[in-house]
Amino acid sequence: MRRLATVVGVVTVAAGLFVVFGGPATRFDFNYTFVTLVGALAVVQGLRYGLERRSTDFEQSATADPELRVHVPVPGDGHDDDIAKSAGWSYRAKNRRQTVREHLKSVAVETVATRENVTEAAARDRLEEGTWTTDPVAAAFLGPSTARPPIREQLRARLRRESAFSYHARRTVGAIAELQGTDADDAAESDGERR
Amino acid sequence: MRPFETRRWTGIDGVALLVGGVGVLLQQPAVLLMAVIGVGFAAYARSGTPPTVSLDISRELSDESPEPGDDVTVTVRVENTGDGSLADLRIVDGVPPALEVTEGTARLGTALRPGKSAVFAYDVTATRGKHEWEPTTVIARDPSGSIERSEEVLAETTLRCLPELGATAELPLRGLTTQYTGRVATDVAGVGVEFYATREYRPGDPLSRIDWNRYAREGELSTLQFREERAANVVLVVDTRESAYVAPHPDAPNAVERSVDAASRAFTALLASGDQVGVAAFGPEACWLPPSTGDDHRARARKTLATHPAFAPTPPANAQFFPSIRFRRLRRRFVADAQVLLFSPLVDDTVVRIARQFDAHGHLVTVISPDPTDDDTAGHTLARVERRNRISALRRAGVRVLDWGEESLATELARAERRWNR
Repeated sequence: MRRLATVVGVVTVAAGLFVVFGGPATRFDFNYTFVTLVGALAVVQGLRYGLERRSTDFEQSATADPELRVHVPVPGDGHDDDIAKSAGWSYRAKNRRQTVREHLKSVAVETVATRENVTEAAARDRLEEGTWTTDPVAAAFLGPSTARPPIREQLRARLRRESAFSYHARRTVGAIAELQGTDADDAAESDGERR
Repeated sequence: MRPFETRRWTGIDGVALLVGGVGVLLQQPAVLLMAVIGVGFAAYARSGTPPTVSLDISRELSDESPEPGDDVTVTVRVENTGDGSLADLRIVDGVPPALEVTEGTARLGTALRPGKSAVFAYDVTATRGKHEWEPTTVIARDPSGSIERSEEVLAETTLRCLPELGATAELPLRGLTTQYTGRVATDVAGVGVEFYATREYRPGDPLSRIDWNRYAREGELSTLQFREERAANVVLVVDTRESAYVAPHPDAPNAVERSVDAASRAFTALLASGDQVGVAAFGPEACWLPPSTGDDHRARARKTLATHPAFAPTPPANAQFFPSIRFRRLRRRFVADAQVLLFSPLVDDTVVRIARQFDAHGHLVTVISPDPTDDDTAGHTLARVERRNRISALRRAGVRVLDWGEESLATELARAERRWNR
């Protein structure tokens, strides 16, 4: 195809040269108007081809980064993903918010039950009442659906760049982590490990 | 791969036409002549033909079986075995996923005439395992750069890195299996050192075993019996499921690497104290080394832990498997009183269930859990909370768990042991 196009191009140029410089029989009348028309056509086509560059991307093979070690995920990347995707008014985002909330609730129940040494039902009650934490945002987030955090906190959430839901979820995770404590060995002692 | 146009020169014909047109309109021969340069470039860009890549790539390692952490120099020689010159050649070597380049670069940009060769070298830091190089990516372009072709050339190279078992294995494992160094005190009367019971004298009992105090007191002959001790049968089970390939940050070793490292050290320590030790993988790829003792067994275990695909430092390609079926198959191979050392980051509930099932089947289970969690974002903190809840649940169920954080395993073990013996 490429070869054919090249042949056609060469033949066309030869024919053009023959018309211009050939014998008197083929001689063409090159007056000012004709030359100007040809020039204008060339400018228009030139602009057209030139502008084509703007919409054309340079194509090349992409190479991977084999020099680096393979990256493995950090535990909890999925949770971050869920929280990030739960902003917005879409049905899916709404569903996701519900899932995240339920998940946080189950983790909170387990943590409260373990830490405070109470039954799961009692832990659930504490969540409903909001007495499990001192953080009003976290208490409202996992409390009954009618619960709202204090106005001040609601305003603070609005003024942030992240979505209100993500802010509340973050505060709640913080509250659960705080309840759990930082030292795992302390946890071991209260677990009453026996063998 | 099929060659394709890079569109690098798109618009050059436009420039030629534009300059020519302006020259005609202004009736300036000099400007018109300038268009010839553009035409020249346009012709140059169109004249290219797809390059044919025919390369011979060979790779040389300064050390094919280094120790972990050693730097290995990789020298790659590329020879143009084709007939045509390669004006623009870019080469990216297929460094194995688990190795990181520390010095130099695994890439080369060059031009090669027929029969000529080019050499480049880089250093990688060896990590445990059997690492196979992937195909080298070769990208060739024609001289004007308007046509490109990308090929993959395979040169087989393998680096085997087997960590030494032994020398550094100073692990206080006393508390890990039983209270007695590598020995299980059984409820069977027999040969031993600890008093177990007395029984009626039978003719033939050795004189040293006769309870002379009682004979003096009551005039009856009785024989002392001692508690029989038996070498423990320990199986090191490493969680190698895809979900166990996690790390707190990109540069950190992942949980499977840490688990295998801990397992190989525990292996040596247990073997040294006279236990029979076996190795098993709990993951898509099955691996089972039956408990045994001796130097041959040590060598086998070293090779298995270092290079068996089940313990690869990168996630498995095909991660499909059924945990409950794998568990049943694994357990069927255990002897009745086998103890289990389970190495797992505990990032999901499946492994918790498995640990409790081992426990339910009467095996003494100890979970050694390298901590892969971080607390920089909400999601990561949540995962950390969940993991700690799992540890608490296991401990409540009577399974011993060693939460292995940043400190060395020996330190953490010593601390855990104090707690377990309290």
